[in-house]
Amino acid sequence: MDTRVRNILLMEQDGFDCSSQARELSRDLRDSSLYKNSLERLKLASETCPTPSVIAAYTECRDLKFEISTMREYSRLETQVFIAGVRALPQWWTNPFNPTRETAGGISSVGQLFADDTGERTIDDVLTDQRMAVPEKVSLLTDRVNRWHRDMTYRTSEVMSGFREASSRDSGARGISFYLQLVVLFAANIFCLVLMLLPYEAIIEAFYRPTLSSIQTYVVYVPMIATAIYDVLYIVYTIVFLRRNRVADYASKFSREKSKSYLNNLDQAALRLVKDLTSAAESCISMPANCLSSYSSALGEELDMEALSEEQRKKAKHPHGFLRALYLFSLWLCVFAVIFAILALVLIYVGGFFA
Amino acid sequence: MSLSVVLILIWAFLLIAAIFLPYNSVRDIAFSLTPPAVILTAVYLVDYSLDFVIIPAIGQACAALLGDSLSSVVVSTGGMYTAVGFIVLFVVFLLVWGSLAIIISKCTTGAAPWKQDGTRPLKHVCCSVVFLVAGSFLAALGLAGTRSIFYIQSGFLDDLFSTLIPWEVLS
Repeated sequence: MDTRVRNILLMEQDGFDCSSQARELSRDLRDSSLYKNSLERLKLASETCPTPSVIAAYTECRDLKFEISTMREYSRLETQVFIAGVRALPQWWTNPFNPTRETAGGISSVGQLFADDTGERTIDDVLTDQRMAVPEKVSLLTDRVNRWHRDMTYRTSEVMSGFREASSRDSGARGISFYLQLVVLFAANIFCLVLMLLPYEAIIEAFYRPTLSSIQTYVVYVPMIATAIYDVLYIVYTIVFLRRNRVADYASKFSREKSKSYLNNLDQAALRLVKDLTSAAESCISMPANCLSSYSSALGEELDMEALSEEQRKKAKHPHGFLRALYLFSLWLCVFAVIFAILALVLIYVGGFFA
Repeated sequence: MSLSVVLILIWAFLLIAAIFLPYNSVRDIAFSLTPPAVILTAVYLVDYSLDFVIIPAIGQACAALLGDSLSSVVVSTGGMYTAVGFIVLFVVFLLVWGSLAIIISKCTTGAAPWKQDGTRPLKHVCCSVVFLVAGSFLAALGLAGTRSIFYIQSGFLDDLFSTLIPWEVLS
C-alpha cells in the first residue's frame, strides 16, 4: 500500500466518501500483472500439484470479489492479492512428497521452500535463525510438514478411491460382459470347427464348391466369415483397450492391494522429514542441497500422481469410440450368424426343409 | 481353405497379440500359460516316446462315456480315440490356463507403466517369446492331433503335422 492509497484510507476514516477511488483502485488491482500472473501460475500449480491447499489457494484467488465500495474493503483485497502472489510461487506449493513433481523454479532442497504462508522466510532461514528457540522452530516446521503430509494423503486417497470405484464397476456388469464376449469368441470358433466335422455330403460340397443358390453355402460361410471378422476385431479391440487402460488397470490393482502400504510409506517419509528438520534446527544448520527428491524417492516409483490424474481426465473425456462400435457390431453379427447356421442346420437335417 | 491356413491364421493372431499387448498383460498370460503348457508338452513327449499309448487311451475312455454320439463322424477308430484324447487334454489345458490367468490377474499388481526399468524390454521380449512359442506349438499340436476327424485337408503344412503326430497313429 503506497502513500496515496494510505491517505485515501485515512480520508475515508475521517468520513469522506472515497467509494469512486476504491472502485478505481480495485479495477487497477484486477488488471494488474501481479493478480493476472498469480492467477495463471496458481491455475498451473493446481493442475500440476492438485492438493487441497493448492486448489483452495487457486479458487480463493480466482473468486476474489473486486466489486467493492470502500477503502477498507480495498485494503483487505490488496492483502489477499499479495498473499495469492506468494502462493503462486513454487516455494509455497511444491510438496516434497509428491513423487513425480517437476522441480519447479530450480528448487532442489526442502530448505528453499517457504516456512509459512507469508513467504517472508524460507525453511533454511528459520533453521539458521540464532534468535529463534528450537521448540518454536520445530513447531513451525512440523506444522508445515503436517500440511504437506495431509495434502498428499488426501490426494492419494482421492485418486485411489476414484480407481477403486471404477474397478468395482468393472467387476460388476462390465466384468460379466467381458466374460460373455470371451464365451462368444470360443463358442463361435468351436462351432466353425464343428462345421468342418459334420458328415453331410451337401455341407462338404458347399464348403469346397460354394454356390450362391445353395442354403448350405450360407450355413457354412456366413458363420465362418462372421467369426473371422469377430476374431480379428476382438484381438484388435482387446489390444487397444488393454494398451489404453494399462495405467487405469495398474492403478485399480494398486488401489486394491498396495494403497495401505503406500500410505504407510508416506507416514514414514513424513516422520523422517520431521526428524531431519528437528536435528537441523538443533544444530542450527541448513537442509542439505538436493535433499528434496530423497523424501519422494522413499515412496518409490509405484505411484505417479500426475499420470493417474491425467488418466482420469482422459477417461472422462473419451468414454467411447468408433472401434468399440465396430467391435460390438461384429460381436452381434457373429452371434446372429451362428444362431442362423444352427437354425438352418436344424431345419435342413431335422425338419427336412430345403430338401 | 485347409488346416494349414487355419494354423497360419492362429499364428498370425498370436504374433500380433505377442507384439502389441502391454507388458503386464503379456507377463500375466505367459505366467499362466507356462504350467499347463509344460504339463501338456510333457504328456505329449512321454506319449511320443511310448508310440502314443496314453492319449488314445484317454480318448477311448472318454469316447466310451460319450457312447453313440460320435458314430456319425466318419473316421477310423484310432484317429477318433487320438482326436478325442487331444480334445480332452486341450479342454483341461484351457480350463487350467483360464483359472490361472484369473488368479494371477487378480493377485498381482504388475509393474507401473511409467517406471523406467532397464530390464523391462528384455522381460517383455522373453514373456512375448514364451507366449508365442507355447501358443504356436500347442495350436499346431492340437490341429495335428485332431486333423483326422475334419473333412478339410491338412494342406501345405502336412509334413509339420505328420512330424508332431504321424498318420499311422491316426489310422
